[in-house]
Amino acid sequence: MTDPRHPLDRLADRGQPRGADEVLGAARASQPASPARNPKVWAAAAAVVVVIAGALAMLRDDAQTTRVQTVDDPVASTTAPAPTTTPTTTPTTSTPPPVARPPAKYFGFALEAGIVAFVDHGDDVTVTEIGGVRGEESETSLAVDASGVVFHHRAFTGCRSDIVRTEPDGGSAVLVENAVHPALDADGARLAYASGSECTPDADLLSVRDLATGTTTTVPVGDPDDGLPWRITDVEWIGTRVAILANQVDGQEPASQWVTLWAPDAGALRFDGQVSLGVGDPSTPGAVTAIEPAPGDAGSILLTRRAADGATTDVRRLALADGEETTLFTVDGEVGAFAALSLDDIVYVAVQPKVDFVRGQIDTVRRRIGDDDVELVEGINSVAVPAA
Amino acid sequence: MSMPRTPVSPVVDDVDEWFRCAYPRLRRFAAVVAPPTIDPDDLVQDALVRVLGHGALARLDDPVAYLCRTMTNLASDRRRRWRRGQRAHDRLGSDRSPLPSYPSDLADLGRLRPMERGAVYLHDVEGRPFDEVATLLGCTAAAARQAAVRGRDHLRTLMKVEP
Repeated sequence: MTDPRHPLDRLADRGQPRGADEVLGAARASQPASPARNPKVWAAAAAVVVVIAGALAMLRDDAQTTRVQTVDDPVASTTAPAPTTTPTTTPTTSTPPPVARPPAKYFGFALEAGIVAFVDHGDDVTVTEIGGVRGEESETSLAVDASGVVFHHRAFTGCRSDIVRTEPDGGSAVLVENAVHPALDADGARLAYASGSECTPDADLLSVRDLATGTTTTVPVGDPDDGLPWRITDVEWIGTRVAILANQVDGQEPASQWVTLWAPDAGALRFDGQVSLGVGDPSTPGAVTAIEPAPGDAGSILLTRRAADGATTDVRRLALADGEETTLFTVDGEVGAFAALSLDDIVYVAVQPKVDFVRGQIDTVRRRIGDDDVELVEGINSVAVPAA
Repeated sequence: MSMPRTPVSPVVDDVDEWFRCAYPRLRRFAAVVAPPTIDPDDLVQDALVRVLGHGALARLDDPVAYLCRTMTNLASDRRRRWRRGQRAHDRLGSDRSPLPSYPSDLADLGRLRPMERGAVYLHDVEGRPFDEVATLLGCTAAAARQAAVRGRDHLRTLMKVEP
């Protein structure tokens, strides 16, 4: 006899339930030991970090593989326990912050351990590290202003990511918002970012915060026709407008990529046009992985697009008026992040899956001036140029 | 940033007791959204591991909604990962069956996306309004309604081709 119930009602009864107590017990047993709740684990972890950091420092000294001179002691600045993942915790640092000022002209970098470094534009590359900003995973993004104030997105395990603000002396790290992809406007006065209703990486809310008044304007981004949400995968200021790199989400399947523009207007964010980037999401070959402003040109945007075979990545200029893409240069492998001083002077993170038993995958920052392409520093996962 | 919404589950005082009450509902939802290859209890357990890892259940405004969203995301991730793997196998020309199949008239439901299955189930079977469905799935009411419409369309297509 046919079961007359709704097929999904019948599907809901599939399998043999194990019971609440067994499932809850297994979930508790599966919990990873949390260092945040165990001082002994923290002490052991700190000791391991000291040993590894010391070994790395020795390796770097021995190998002389980069031209970087570290001003502050990297070992001391990596021994503090990382901030807890408790959602209500305001990030702080427990080590005495090294006093560091950025050079007059600099790039900001996020190191693998979440430490921010400033690198002078000049030929004598000097890294000045500050210790107040820490990430737990390599997925980070930066926004820096001319005085060295850093807005740093750091990802936690699971759904949470925070943007924290750190002063250039490393003395304080203040939680700004549970959000991702910080971007400062040209004046350094407004911060744009993306957030999600619960799971930050699935960001579908775009916000602009006036840093002087704290006033924040938020708009949900989604298809105006069918209401399906867009997932924001990058945020940048293009002149006075905010550009987002977004995936149109069909159900839970990434369907297509877009750059959409939003204009802050009388306390609101107004939709101001879009450019189609084709099918895909940032993890698929052929897709766009990041956007950046094109210096001096509010009618264009720079983007990185992976080749269909995944072997190379183009840095391209996209004309917002007609969607035409012009390749500026092509690099082997993937580009993790990039920033442009001009169309002929672009700094990018080259992601090379290099096998190294001590350091594993090594990301290197390279600077492309015209046709010259030189390595600046390694062990970097994000790069930014300061707002004016 | 959390969107203020009305909780659809009671406050948690005693976690064990609360979970015993919520378990049948959570397991049924897991059975609906989980891929056919995933045991519903495993999905509930995975979601619990993640939620407990962020702190106590009692700190959540709406633990059932949070767990449902987590399960939907986990199920979608699994499906997406499987599809990427499948595409890679297609490119390499290797032989791999599209989905493990089982002799059941419910097997075709696996073709629906987890979000669609969840939306149709919560609205049509459990009779929840779309704003509540949206809370449980972690999307806007419009997106929940759209997912349900698409899910029903797919269901109708599947039912038509059944003998």
